[in-house]
Amino acid sequence: MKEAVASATRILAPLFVLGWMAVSVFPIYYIAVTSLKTQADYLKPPPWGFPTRWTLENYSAVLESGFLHYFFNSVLVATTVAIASVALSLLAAYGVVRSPSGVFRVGLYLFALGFAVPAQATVIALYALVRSVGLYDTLGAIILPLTGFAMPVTVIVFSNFLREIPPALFEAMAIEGAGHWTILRHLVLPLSLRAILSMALFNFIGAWNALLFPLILTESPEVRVLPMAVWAFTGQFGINVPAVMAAVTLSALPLIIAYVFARREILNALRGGLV
Amino acid sequence: MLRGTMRDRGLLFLYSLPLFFYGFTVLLPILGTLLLSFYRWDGISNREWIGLANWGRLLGDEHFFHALRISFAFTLAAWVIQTPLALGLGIYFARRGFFRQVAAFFAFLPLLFSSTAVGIIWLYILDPNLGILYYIPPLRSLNPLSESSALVTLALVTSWQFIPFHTLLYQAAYQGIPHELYEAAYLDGAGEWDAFWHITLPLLRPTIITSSFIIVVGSLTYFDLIWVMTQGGPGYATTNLPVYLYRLAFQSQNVGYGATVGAFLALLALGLSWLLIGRSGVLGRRWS
Repeated sequence: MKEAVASATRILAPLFVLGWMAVSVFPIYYIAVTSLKTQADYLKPPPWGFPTRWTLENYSAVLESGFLHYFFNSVLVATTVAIASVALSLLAAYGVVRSPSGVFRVGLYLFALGFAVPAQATVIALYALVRSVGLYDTLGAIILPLTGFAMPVTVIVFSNFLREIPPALFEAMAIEGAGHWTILRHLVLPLSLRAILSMALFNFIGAWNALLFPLILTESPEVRVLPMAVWAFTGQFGINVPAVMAAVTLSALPLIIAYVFARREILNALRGGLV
Repeated sequence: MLRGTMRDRGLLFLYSLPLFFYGFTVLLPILGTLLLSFYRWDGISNREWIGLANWGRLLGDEHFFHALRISFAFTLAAWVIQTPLALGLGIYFARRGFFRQVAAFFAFLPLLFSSTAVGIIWLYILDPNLGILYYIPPLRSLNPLSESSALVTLALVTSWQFIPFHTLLYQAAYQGIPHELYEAAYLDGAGEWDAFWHITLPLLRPTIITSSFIIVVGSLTYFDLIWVMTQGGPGYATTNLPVYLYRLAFQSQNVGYGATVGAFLALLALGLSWLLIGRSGVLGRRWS
């Protein structure tokens, strides 16, 4: 009986995975093919059919509606968040690992607190804070909290990583008179480059896809980032669904290209140091 | 290392920089949420200290308890759908083989889309008039975003989005299990079924806990996709706690009371982390 289940699983597994593959890919096929249809073609059944006339007019409509501006806003936000969160977290992790006592230990608990409390719970106070310091409706209003909320997991991953470096290496450098900056630059940085890149990419993707902070902390089109822009397009283009699909496709394109060319790195980053 | 850690000014300076930044951007909003829960405030005029009145209101607010139930129902559905599928797919993709590699390449694609994009894509795919449901006879007359089915639809779409992530976790964990364990078991006459129950599952336990922790906290506080697809509707059918607090604070100007719901959500997530983190292998090691 048990062996019957095992062999049935062995036979059915590839079929199931094939079905799952179709479920994973269909929506992506759907947006790509819809974005290349005219509006008239979109209304013709079936929804997954090829267009009778292939067209790029939806892409030009999206590009003419300020897409590039929103794209660069997103690049700016996600890049700044990635660099700032990784730099700050590396300093914090270095402090925790080099001196796991007193202030440093309390600090680690504070980062653990930020890891457990979801950002969604704090948005009202965050909104009030951002208003009171005059940052409302700026890109800074998105960058600062995204960086802060990216720190807990980054600090934890980095601390784990730095603990693996033999303490003797730190001590040897310290005995030779190296200061903390020198140790960071010539020992920590080279050894943890992979972890740094991975977490930078993880935080970049998180910031690139974030909706809630931009939704509550900005309003003008000048500071719109991609998720907000794509959502705004659904209202702006209304029934022009192919144009909406072109906007969705364009917003996901950078990550898809990166995935095709650097699958291993992207998947490592997406795990967020959790393995 | 031992020479006066507390007196190491350089180190303290290095450490204070990230801590200050973190304090202002994360700890201050957390504290602020708790503090605002003791005020009546519409977001514009002056705040008025009202003590525990907001917390009292919470206890008698049927919309709050409804949102709490929605949060838990959504979380339960997300866990039940995602865990077995991700576990199975993770193990499948962990082994070598051309088909497995190709299938894995495509199965991880949903990870690359933002929640906003995922929500918009599925809104159009599931559209009752122009979507694909019409072509699937048993689902022809179904409206996936009606009051009775919207929450299930959201849980399914969320699962579509996040199963690849959990599959990644299981794949890596499974690859870490030594082959010798299986070889030894088969030599002793165990079948594949026994090996799965007595080797694979026990050894994946820490990953199951980590993955479950992420699903639970993530789903209880999920906002983006729900906001894009239903905005908490129809009515209150998909209003979970984060959507409820958003509606309170940013749509009906109940900022103080919204912060109370936020503080409750923060305490709930803290409690759950307390319960789950200690048992989790991967996360547990972090604080040991």
